[in-house]
Amino acid sequence: MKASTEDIIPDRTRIPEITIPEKITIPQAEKFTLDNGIKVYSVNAGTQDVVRIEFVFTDKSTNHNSALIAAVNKLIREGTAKHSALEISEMLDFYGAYLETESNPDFSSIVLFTLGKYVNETLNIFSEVLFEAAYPEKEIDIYKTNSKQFLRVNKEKVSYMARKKISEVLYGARHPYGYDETETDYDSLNRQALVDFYGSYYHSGNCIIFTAGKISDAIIKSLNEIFGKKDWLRTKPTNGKEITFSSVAEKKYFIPKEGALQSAIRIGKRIIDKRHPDFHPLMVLSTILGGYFGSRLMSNIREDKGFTYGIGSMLGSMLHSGFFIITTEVRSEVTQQAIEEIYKELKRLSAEPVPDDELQMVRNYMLGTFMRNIDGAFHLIDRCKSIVLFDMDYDYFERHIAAVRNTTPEQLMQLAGEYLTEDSFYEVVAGKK
Amino acid sequence: MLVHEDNTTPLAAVNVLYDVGSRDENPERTGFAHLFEHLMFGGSQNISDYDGPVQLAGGENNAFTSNDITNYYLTLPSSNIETAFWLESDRMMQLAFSEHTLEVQRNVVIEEFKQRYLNQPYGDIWLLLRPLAYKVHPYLWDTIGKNISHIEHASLEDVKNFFFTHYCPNRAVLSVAGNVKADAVFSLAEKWFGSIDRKSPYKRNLPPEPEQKEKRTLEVKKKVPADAIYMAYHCPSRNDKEFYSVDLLTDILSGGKSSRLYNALVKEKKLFSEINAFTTAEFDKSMVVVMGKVLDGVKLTDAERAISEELDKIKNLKAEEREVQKVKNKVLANLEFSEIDLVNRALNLAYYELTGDANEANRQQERYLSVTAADIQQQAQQIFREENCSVLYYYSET
Repeated sequence: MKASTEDIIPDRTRIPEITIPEKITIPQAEKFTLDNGIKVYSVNAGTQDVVRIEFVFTDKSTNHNSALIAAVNKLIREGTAKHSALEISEMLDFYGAYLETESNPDFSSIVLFTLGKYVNETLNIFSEVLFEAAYPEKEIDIYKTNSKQFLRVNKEKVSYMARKKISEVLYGARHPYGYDETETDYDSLNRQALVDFYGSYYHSGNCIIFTAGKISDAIIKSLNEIFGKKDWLRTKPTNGKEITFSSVAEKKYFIPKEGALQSAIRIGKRIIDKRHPDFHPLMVLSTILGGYFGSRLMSNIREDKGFTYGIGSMLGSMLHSGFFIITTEVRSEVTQQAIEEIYKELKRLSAEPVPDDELQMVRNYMLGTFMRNIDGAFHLIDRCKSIVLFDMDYDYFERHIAAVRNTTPEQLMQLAGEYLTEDSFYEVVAGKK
Repeated sequence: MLVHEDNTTPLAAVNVLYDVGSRDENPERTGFAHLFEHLMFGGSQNISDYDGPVQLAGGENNAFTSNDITNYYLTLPSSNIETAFWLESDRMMQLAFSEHTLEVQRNVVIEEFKQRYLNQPYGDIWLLLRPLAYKVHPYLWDTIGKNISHIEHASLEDVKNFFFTHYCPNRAVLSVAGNVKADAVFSLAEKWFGSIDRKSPYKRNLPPEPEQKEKRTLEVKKKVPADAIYMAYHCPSRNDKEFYSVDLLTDILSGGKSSRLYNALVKEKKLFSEINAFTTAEFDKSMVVVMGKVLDGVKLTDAERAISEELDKIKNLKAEEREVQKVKNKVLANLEFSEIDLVNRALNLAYYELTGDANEANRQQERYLSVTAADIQQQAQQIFREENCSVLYYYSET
């Protein structure tokens, strides 16, 4: 082939040719079952000698006390029958390993990040933590005191105030989705309740394992040896009551914060969750509105008006509910103008079709984002988790890609008219009066 | 120009690092390097909109400014890498200087100033601590700037001057990591950047921070729920060979839950709800900062004494081999974990090239491994001297 001048002299007036892969396939996790029935999903890939092993515990229907659930999760690593909190941390740190804990109203999880070469050593520590957490009184006391201070700092932030209120408004303060811990909740934590919940919740009948990185057969075998031979840790589960969402009539809320330089705005609603077929095209709609840097909200409220450092919309899904929320902090003086612009942009979605060039950009951006989100073992296991925990299959991603490629401007308008009408939204502002 | 090939990914990361940071600003126009970073997204001579083409190419981009550098990066499907070269070369060659963009981005940055520094509990600590620790060197202001009025007064003339002084091929390092072939990338670099003119070399003539001779203190009272203390000590620069000892020293003090300060002061003495120590790792004379929030009823002076006692321990007694081994293992593991991310691999290459030699990216492990307990103790003795310390006492009004 001979070189043309195009290869040497750049044409700066036109964008170089762009290609988006015709076919994007997501490598699936392998699935194993341990002898005692625990399911293991595993992605063996990556260039680095790293391993991530995560235990996700699922069914919380027995207890709805958020403060308790969070405390049991956070304190699980703070001492066992054999080792103090410090000794456990010292061993993990010595191998350069991390133990991360996370809990939300749907799931609790414990994750081990370790170098492949130390996986045997760190798995031993990990299993001791999982099987023999002791919840020492001393550690619980420190946790209570420090969590209360952490909460007091948060309460000074308009972003926290607004987030707490919008959750409460959408789900009701009695539901874990709408509830946020108070200082009283921390004060009333007691060791016996922690130990009981630990026993009834962190057990082999209630967990799924997700592993990713350099996962050898030996690691899967070790998992079976350590966690899979018999049932572990099951005490009498108490029966909790099902709690339903509660709705409120009032749509607009204001929380005063003296001296605030910015107002935090949250405009949101409950919506279909990710099992619903409309979820995927709604994701396209949400991206257009506020899901990327070039979105309409960013273009209008940041890049055109300079009201804010950032604004976005998000379509998310918990186990029992989807939500759609618009989030921003704007300078106090323009709070009302910003809110009006947000509603204007919402209305525009159902009033006019999305122009082709904008939609093409969003399609390409979303496909690129999807490629980034399946790049590497840790991303792949996150995608796997996101379907397994919702009892879904990999065809979820095919539906996602199809919606990104094919949803038409007319369908988007119709969806906006159905799901994103102004009067269906709740509005919370925290800031200066 | 540096390339790292990785054919296990369909993506590529493109990184453009400019050798300019807030230390290069006019003391009367602080915050400018960062404001300028925002303006770099406002279009260039041939491309009216930077973000649109990136998104059309399936890409994601961002940038950050520090006291030392300004860094721009994007990831995209590797098939579209030429779009990145088109965009980055055009804005290096000639930015569109638009009054409207400047006007809007001034407002955006002012909102950023409020959101991150002024409208947050403890958000202003760097605005208070830096001018306490530095009296002469430009590290005395934070990247966001000394105050909002400096940003308000930025003019288009300032923008042009800054661009013509600092944005040019001889002040930039370009790196690419991902599913690419090095030869092809070098050809693209030649094609798109080859014709951009070099500019006359910039003489960075920063006033060196004189040796601190006595302890400095500042007390403030603010609407926050708890008292907090911030102690800043001068220390060697990121580019000194001592950096690795300093970094491990701060890890012994506060790296992870088995670290000394956390166990002594949060867990045992129950004085703090949280405590941290780290080095700011800057290119000129840098800082080790120890910071923490105290629990109700704890006096800041007692808290300070307790911190000093822990610092004295590592000055007076060499750390045990196992403890040194532990922090080294942890650093090595962190390096391994951070290399998962393509963007980090591209940035590291550019970063080490700027500071001397891209091969350093592959030598970090040995640099850390060669540190001894005696090196760490020596740094502790050098750094943790009362006359080398600036303390910010941050009191709760209530």
